[in-house]
Amino acid sequence: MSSQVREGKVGIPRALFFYTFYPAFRTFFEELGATVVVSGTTTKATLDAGVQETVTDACAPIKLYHGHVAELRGRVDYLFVPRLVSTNGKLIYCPKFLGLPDMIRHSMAGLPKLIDVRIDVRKGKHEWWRVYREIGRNFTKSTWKIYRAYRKALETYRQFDGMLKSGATAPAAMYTLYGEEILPAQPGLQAAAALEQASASASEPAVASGTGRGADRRLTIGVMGYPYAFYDPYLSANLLDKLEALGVTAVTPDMIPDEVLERQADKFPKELFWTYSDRAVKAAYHFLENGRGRIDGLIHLTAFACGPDFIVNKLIELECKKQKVLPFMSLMYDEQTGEAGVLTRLEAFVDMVRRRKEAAVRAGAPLAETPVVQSQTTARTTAQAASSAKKAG
Amino acid sequence: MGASHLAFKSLMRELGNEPIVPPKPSLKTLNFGTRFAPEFACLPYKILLGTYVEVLEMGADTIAASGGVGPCRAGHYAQLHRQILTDAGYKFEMIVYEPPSIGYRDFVHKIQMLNSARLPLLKLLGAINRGWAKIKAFDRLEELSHWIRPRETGNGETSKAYRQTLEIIDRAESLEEIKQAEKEAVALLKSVPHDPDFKPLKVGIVGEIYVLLEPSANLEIEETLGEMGVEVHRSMFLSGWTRDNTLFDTLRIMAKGDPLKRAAQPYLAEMIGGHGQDSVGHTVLYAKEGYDGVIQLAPFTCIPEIVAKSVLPAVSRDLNIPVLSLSLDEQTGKEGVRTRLEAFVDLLARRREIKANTRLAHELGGGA
Repeated sequence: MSSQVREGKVGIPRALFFYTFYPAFRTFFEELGATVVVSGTTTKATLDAGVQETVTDACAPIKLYHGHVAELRGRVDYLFVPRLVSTNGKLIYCPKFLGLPDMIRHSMAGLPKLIDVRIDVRKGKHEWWRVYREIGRNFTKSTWKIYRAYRKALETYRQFDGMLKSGATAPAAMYTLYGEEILPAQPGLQAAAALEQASASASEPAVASGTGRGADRRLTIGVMGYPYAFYDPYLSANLLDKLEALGVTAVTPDMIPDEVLERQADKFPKELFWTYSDRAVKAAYHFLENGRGRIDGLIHLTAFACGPDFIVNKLIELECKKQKVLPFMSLMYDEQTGEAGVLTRLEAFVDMVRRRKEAAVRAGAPLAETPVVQSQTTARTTAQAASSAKKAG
Repeated sequence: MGASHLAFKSLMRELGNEPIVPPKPSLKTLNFGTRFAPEFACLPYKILLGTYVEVLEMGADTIAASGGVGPCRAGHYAQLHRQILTDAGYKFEMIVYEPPSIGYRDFVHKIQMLNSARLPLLKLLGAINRGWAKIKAFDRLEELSHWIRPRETGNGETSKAYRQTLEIIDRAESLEEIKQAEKEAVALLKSVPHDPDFKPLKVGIVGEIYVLLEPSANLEIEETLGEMGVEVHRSMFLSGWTRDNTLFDTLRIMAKGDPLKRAAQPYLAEMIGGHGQDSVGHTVLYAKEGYDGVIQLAPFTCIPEIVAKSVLPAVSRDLNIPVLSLSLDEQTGKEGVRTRLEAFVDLLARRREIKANTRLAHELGGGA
């Protein structure tokens, strides 16, 4: 019996489930002697390459995934494109995740061997072992070796997930684990520098509000959405860094422990089918219930024409409207989103949230229960809504 | 969807309810739908929501809707519709039917909720049976109209006769009458002057069930194509779908996988919800059966159909069959669709001509 390891470079695209599962799979592949190659941070070129390979109706994150695959194509021996069906044993993923390997295989040419293992642990947690074993077979015949790599991978996953749950963003956690190899600079550092610079040079926000600065003025905003969007500097137009620069700490759904989110479960007549969407909605409900005094506002980051998100967005919006405790804004991105437009809207929202908080602090009372629902609309939607209202009226 | 509401109307009446039949989805329906629905909801979602508003305005107090288990979004529609309409200030009750496979008890209980006349079980089943018979009759007539329409000699005669046949079935009450009406309707359709020897182009239509089955959502594509002299075959009928996904589903799949899934397997190996896998499977089957082309109908933003659309070019290339994907939303105009259909049909006709010529040349060459 040979326990010899076949050498190989495994490509992992920096998109979709990357920000949830990369560390675990990286450990696994490396333990098996493979080299892991990650595509670079998203640039306009990455997305453009993806746009060329995909149908127009696909959402930006899916197009981006194709772009990252295109970048890795030709540089690796294997491409890790798993079919994510269910990873928590209960919920599934968006149909586009379910059909991802098929979309990649049939729309892109010149691909290396695909590792398109089907990940579905609805039959039980031991299914994870089956999944890892199947992947491992590409590299070694030794089950023992695969098992050891699998244990190590789980360990890494727990370590990484622990960092998220203690409030680190996924890029920050990865930076801690892998350093500059994974990211050019520690996330937040530039932002902090920018913040310092901003408060040093321009003091007008502080003057305008007439209250303290620095730590006192920090806000906390819940950013609802999907890790592959809010962590992607290009898709989100650096949303998290921009918030940081505006003195806002962002809390994302992947920082909230599962059991805390599950407490919201009975508020839904029917839980959402899709893992990431379920987390986003439950996180929003959780913030609305328990966030008073700790969370100052909610932002929902959503992709143009995202399938599940019209439900997610509407559920959050309706709940915000009902609870009347937190200001809410949704922010839509697509392949053409510009930095300046996002910044303007963020500044306006953050200013509003900050004034509201300071007014409440001055009044020495709990926050006024004003309904501050701001449903985001693009110019196109507004025109459309207006025209249909006119026609209907 | 399509003519099925007529069957449900008679069923509801038998159960002792006063059914409010929504008007045919119109611009007004869509306007209501788009006013209340989120922008990226799909067309079926908006039409349904608009229809609910219309029936609520007409005085309905209960809405019966279907549920689902995903991964398609439609499984959440009823719940979200309820929340949106409640938020808009409407008062009503909504009964959502989840597939019996999640819970027979719940399913039966919800049927009883609509059984206002408190019909005993046997009579209830009888009523359901009659509704079912009507749905089957409607489907059979529609299928026949697809065959006659391209062969008709007078323009629009088939569609006119077809509308009459719907009324004939609608009037029937007992099972016997439905049977009789169906015979009468079939005879009426067959009496439309047509040329049975004409060999029309054959096009298969695949896609998402609602836009496939509701003519006002697909801008009467079957009529349009039929009148261009194209025989359409629709991959799905309500009578086929409901059966597949309720009673026999589990049994049949346990017996052995269905041919559709097997056909789709090389291109789309996963059940991705909605009718994504079916669209791919049907396209493969149509290609193998020698159809001239396939048209995929999808509501804009429909997730499963986007996945299907991504792999269909590969099917088209491998099996040498032209595929046209049409994305439908509230902005789609009939004339725009017609132009694209005409271009597609021209292409198919030209392909058939080339094929025939090559064959002819081959035969002649072989004979010499």
